[in-house]
Amino acid sequence: MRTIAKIIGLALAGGLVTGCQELFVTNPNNPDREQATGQPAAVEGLIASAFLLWWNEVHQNEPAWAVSFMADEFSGGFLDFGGHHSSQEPRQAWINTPTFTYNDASESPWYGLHSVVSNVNDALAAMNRGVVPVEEARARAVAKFMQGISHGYLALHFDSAYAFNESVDLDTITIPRLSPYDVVMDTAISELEQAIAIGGASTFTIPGPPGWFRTPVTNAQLVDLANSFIARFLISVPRDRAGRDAVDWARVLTHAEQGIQTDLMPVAEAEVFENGFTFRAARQRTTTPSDFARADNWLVGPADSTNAFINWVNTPAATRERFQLRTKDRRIHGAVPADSGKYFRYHNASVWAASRGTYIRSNYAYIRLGRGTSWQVGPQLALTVTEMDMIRAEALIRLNRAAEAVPLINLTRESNGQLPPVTIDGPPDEPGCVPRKYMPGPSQGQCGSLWDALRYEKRIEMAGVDPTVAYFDARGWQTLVQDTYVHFPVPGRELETLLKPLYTYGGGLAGSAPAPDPHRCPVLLPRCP
Amino acid sequence: MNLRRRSRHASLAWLVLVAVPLQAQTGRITGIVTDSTAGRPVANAEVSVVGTARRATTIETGAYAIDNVPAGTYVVVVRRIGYVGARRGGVVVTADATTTADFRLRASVFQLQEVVVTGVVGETEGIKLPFTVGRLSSEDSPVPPANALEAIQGKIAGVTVAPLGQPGSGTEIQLRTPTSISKSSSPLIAVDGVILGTEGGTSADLNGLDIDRIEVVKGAAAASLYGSRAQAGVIQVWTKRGQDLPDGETRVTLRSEFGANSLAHKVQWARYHFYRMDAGQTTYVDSAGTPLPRDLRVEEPTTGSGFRFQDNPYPDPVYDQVDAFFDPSSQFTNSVTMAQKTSKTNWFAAFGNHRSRGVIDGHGWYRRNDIRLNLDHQLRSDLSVSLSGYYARSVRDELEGNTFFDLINIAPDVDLRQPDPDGTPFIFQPDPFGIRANPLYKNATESDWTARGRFLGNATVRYTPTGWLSLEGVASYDRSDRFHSFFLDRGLKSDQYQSGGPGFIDQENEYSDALNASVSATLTRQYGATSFRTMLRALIEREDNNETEAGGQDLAVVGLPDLTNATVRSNLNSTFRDIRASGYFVITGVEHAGKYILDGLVRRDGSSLFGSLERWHTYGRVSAAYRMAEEPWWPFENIGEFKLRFSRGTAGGRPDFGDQNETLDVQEGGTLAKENLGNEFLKPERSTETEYGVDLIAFDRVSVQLSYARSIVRDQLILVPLSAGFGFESQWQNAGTIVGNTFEATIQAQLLRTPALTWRVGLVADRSRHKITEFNRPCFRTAIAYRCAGEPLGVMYGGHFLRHPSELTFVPDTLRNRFQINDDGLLVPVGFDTVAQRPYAYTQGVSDSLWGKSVTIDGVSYLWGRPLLARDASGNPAIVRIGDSNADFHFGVSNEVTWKNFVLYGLVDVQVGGQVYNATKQRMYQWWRSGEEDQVGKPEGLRKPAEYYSSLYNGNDEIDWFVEPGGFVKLRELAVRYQVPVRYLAGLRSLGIRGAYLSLVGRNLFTITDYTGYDPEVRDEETNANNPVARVDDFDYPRFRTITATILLEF
Repeated sequence: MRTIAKIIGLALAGGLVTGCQELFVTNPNNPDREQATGQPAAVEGLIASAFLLWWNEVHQNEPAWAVSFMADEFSGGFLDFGGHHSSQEPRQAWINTPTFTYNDASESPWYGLHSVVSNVNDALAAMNRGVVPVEEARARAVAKFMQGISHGYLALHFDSAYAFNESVDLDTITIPRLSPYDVVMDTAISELEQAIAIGGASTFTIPGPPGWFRTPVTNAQLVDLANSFIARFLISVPRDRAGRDAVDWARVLTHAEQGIQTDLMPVAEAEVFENGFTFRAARQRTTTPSDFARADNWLVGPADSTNAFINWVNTPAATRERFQLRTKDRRIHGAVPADSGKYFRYHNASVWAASRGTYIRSNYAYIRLGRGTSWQVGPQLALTVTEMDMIRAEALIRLNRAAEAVPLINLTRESNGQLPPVTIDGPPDEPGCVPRKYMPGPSQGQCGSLWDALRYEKRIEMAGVDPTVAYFDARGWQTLVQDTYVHFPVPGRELETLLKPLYTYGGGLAGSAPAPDPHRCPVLLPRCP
Repeated sequence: MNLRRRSRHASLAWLVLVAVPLQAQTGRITGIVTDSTAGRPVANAEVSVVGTARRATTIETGAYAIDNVPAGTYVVVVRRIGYVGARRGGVVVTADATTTADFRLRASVFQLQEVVVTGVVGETEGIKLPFTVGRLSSEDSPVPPANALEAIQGKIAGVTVAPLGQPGSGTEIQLRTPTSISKSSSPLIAVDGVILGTEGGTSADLNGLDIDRIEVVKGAAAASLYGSRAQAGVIQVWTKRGQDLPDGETRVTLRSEFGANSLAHKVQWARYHFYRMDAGQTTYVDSAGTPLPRDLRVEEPTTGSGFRFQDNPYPDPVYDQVDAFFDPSSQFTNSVTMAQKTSKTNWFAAFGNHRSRGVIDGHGWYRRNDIRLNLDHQLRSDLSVSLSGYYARSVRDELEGNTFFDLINIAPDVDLRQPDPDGTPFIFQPDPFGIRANPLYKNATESDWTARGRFLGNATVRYTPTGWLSLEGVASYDRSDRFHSFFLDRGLKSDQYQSGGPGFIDQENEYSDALNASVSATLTRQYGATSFRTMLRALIEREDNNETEAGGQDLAVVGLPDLTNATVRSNLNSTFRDIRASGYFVITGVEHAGKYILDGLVRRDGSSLFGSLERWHTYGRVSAAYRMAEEPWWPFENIGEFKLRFSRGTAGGRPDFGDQNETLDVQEGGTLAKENLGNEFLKPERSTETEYGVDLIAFDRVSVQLSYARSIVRDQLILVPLSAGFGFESQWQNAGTIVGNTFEATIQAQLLRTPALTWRVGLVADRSRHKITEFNRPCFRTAIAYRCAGEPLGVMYGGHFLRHPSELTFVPDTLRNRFQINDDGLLVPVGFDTVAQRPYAYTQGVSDSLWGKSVTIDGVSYLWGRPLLARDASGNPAIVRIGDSNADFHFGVSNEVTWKNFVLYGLVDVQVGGQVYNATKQRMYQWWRSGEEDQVGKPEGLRKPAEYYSSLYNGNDEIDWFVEPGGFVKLRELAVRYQVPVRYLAGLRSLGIRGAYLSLVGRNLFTITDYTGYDPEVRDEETNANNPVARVDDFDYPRFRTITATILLEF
């Protein structure tokens, strides 16, 4: 019996040892929604971190390089980030399969921007439940602002997206429903208007780094920012010339005039808040500057006073070779063509294989932001007064107030480019005028119009500042290379999740840009065809 | 009384029956144990009386004596490593009398005859197992492997080892077929009872010289005993102890091994270029013929799509960059072991010291010092304790992250070994056109190393109050500390700071604490010809893992690798992962008449890693074996052993920490990003394996084990993507099944066995197939890996170049002759020669100046002579199956010949089939660095321009051109050992030297393969890190050859 007792004792001991062990273990590394929205401070933290998350989906490599290359703002021989695929000639359709190597170009903004909206929705829902940060107006204003600019970029990049806000209870939805991009954009602008309303009715200061906008912003400046984004969104959302012509330009002008008074320059910090787009635009790894991307010849070429660019344009894409230009625009080169300009410099080494297309090779390295290290620290140009000036100038031209647009265009043209001022007729009609008309036809080589000057000025000033504006403008200005896709489809991975068939755009399919027609003006102007 | 209660009462009744002790007066059993062949006495054999706790060990004369045996009739069993166990029934013990029982032991020359303990109740002879347990002893492995666990490669059937080449690396092992789509298919590993932790549990810390034996159970049919961590099998390692020494003996050995490492195979590097040169090909010139320096050289003209050949000799010296980078280097291993055995205590102590410099001189080296102490002590006749302790400390120099990638970018005409002006022995950038910097500079300037500390400890207490009951308590502990330090001093150059950077520092500290403890009771009873063995065990597991990282840049002071020196701080991370698990099991083995064997177990496991609503899961096994040769009617005299066996069992595979949790990712700067939608229903993966087999021994010279195993692993843990509308990226779900089957054969033969000459041959072979049969999420591709129902793991997906006219479905039949298959086997457009009125030949590219031109076929323009990518219905490059890493079958052949004082051992390891994706070569194509791109020496008709190779490069997208045969025949191990005759040691007797051995050892000596990279044994660390069968050569540290000499002295 002693032995049996031992066995029973052992069994009890074993049961005790194992039974007493608690098998519930918390995860101390990652919060869940309850932790993220359970306290007022946490709710505010969720909102305060939204801009960092948003920044990654707009200013990092994906989709930045695909859209910048498509707009022929920069060009490059590397395949990374889907840039080369999107910009090869003839243009190809976007490959919208989950197996495509570069599908992050569309998946990253798709999932990332929806994630920002989802976070902010959780925060606002928590506030509606009574978990309210101390500065409620500030939190609500920024939350609405972040909803707006996130929905806005979804509407700009994709043909459709989810327009959910904090009032949507996702627990009641089995299959979420997509909304067309114009509906999503209406949602975005409505949210930005709510941010304006809250910001206009309250007084607060949004602190600088480490969170929020990484630069101090007052309630009034937040209102300015929201107006600026509305102006950008209104003109950017159309997919073609007709759509851009149909924009309410008076409304655009109003928002642009109420836009920012100083550039938005969030402060970068290594591995926390980086700018992958400017980093690679300025990259110099060993000895060759701008080895990832160069100024596309379509960007700097209109400034060429020789026929090098025009000859390049007149050559079939497959046999185009890079060239050296000569221009009065001191942003492109210095007093002599070999000297550095303010934004670019001549460098004849090219690391890109001819097999990637000699038409993408360029001799102009981008140096405006330094040489590959300035991305790590310091203020990053994100939204500029110059862009607002250009939006205002376009609006004024389209509202038949072109004379008022002239000084806006001349601001940077004279100060940065050291170019003679334009008039309502365009640049002075003289040798070396900038820009010149370049498309084949009777006017090829002639001095450009005021419309041409506006487009050139905006492109040259926005290059390397914002990766998306050139593309959004190009589809409305009808300057995209033919068959460029005008927006991304809903990513294939999402379609498969929704059990929907895959589809895509570009390459001659639906959603392809028509042949470019850059010199046609939206209103009657001198030198316009 | 309901059925369940009745059943419980029946079990208790059975326990009570088993527990009834025999009451009698005592007698004595004595005898002598001898070797059946040589007739010499066998010392250290364990003789035990079945059904009692009485046992003894034979002394040098082979004699034993067991006192105080209760009167009765017994079965006496003798066991000794290296011999087939013997038993004798009907041994009658009478009170106050001595009974004699002598034994003649037959040397066990076959694995099948060895005693194993893994997966069963206690020590069990292999011939009585109802399933397969692979066993390897140190005698079977005369060549200590670079990594301790790699010893089983080529020696146990069904084993796939996926090693990493750099010294100090761990290894991935797969037994039979993969068991998990997303998680590790590596087996559970235990060393002296210490279950290695899930993190930091690398086998690289172990000293292979310490290993006494390894047992391998390969799937759920055998491994159910180990529950929810065992679906991929179990490997148990035992290290040496002092128990095998004769009583009273102390033995000391000194072993020193020293030798050289070298690269077994070099890749072919380009030696020519396509820059414009003068007619004499001595000077770079421009289009006007003006000489140019190298820095300003220009490419030969490209006409649109390109037309230039890589056939110009460099005017400057050309270097062998493989030789410049790799450097034959050295390694040595020293060890001292001491062991002693007394009547109640034995102990074994070992000190090891290992240094390997790999094959990159001065970098990537590895140093390890280790100490082991194993002790067994008999406290009382019924109480013993065993302690095992091991501590290893190692440091490894980590190579610069992209070092092999940097290397393949280097042009042939630059000298990597010239000094840099900053004082570094190697120049940072020797090439003004260089894309990547000199990897030698980076390796020389970066201080990047990992220090590891590892303690493995086990304490086992056994209490045997009666002959039929044994109680055991076990506690084991695995502690791993890792410290990683990176330091790049201010002023040193890097890719982003060509003139000297601000300085970077990063430090990471990790530890893992894994504690396993159990208590168990083993009950053994014999009823006539039927014996029962039952074990009940309860166990717990606790594992804590912690990581802390900090870093920064912009160093204030030069030369100070201290975190406070960083004026900008970043990389601040910490992670805690705790795991808790509990379990219970009962296992019973029944043997009748030595020929009918039944075995069954039930185990219930709870784990904190399971979803909160799926905390506990049950596993089980039933097995049976039938030793037909034991039947009186068995007609084949020469087949002395013939066993049929069957086993079916279940085991699990756990989720990882956090898989069940809803998580938001806290990113740098405090950003929260929704990541994983939690799943409280998350279950472990569940493998059900059925194994059938037959074992036989014929002519007492040949053993054969044949097995077939089929596994079905359901509830696969799969990360299912979610709609963006929900905010969360994905959710872990049980959403798949993977099915595998394996045929295995193990044959061992004693071809010669004379006192002067023995020759043993071993053959292991296996053929495995598996595929995903259920995958409840959209199929997806990550780089080359593709996951979808119907596909195996290790399959390669990517682009495909057309190779056969039947693939020309997009052109009319009448125009298919406008395409030809070139000498590379690729279908290329050649068009039609309107003058000759026939299609051009693919060899006319140069003679008719066709390269670089376009041809129009059926209205579509093609580049002449270029390969054609297969396209899908949308016109996009089709993504298709392009290869498969899975081998058709493996086999290993080992030979051991003993002649007088010499022992010659060799192991040839063969993989038939299975492909490797050569991503390294693909990148070499990008910058025309592969020797395959040189056109010198080719007939004119076969020369191809550089752009042809750019097409093959395919933008670094996976493409079938770089899928290469990965089969190989490898002379993996070769050893010659010479035992110095005693007469030569006479002069050394005063030093106490009793024996001396000299050996010459080679590892990975010679490989026959069609693979063009450094070595076909590579592992895809990028997208298939958990999957050893996937083989992608993506700038891996190559496996290298070592040749060493060893001296071993015994004192």
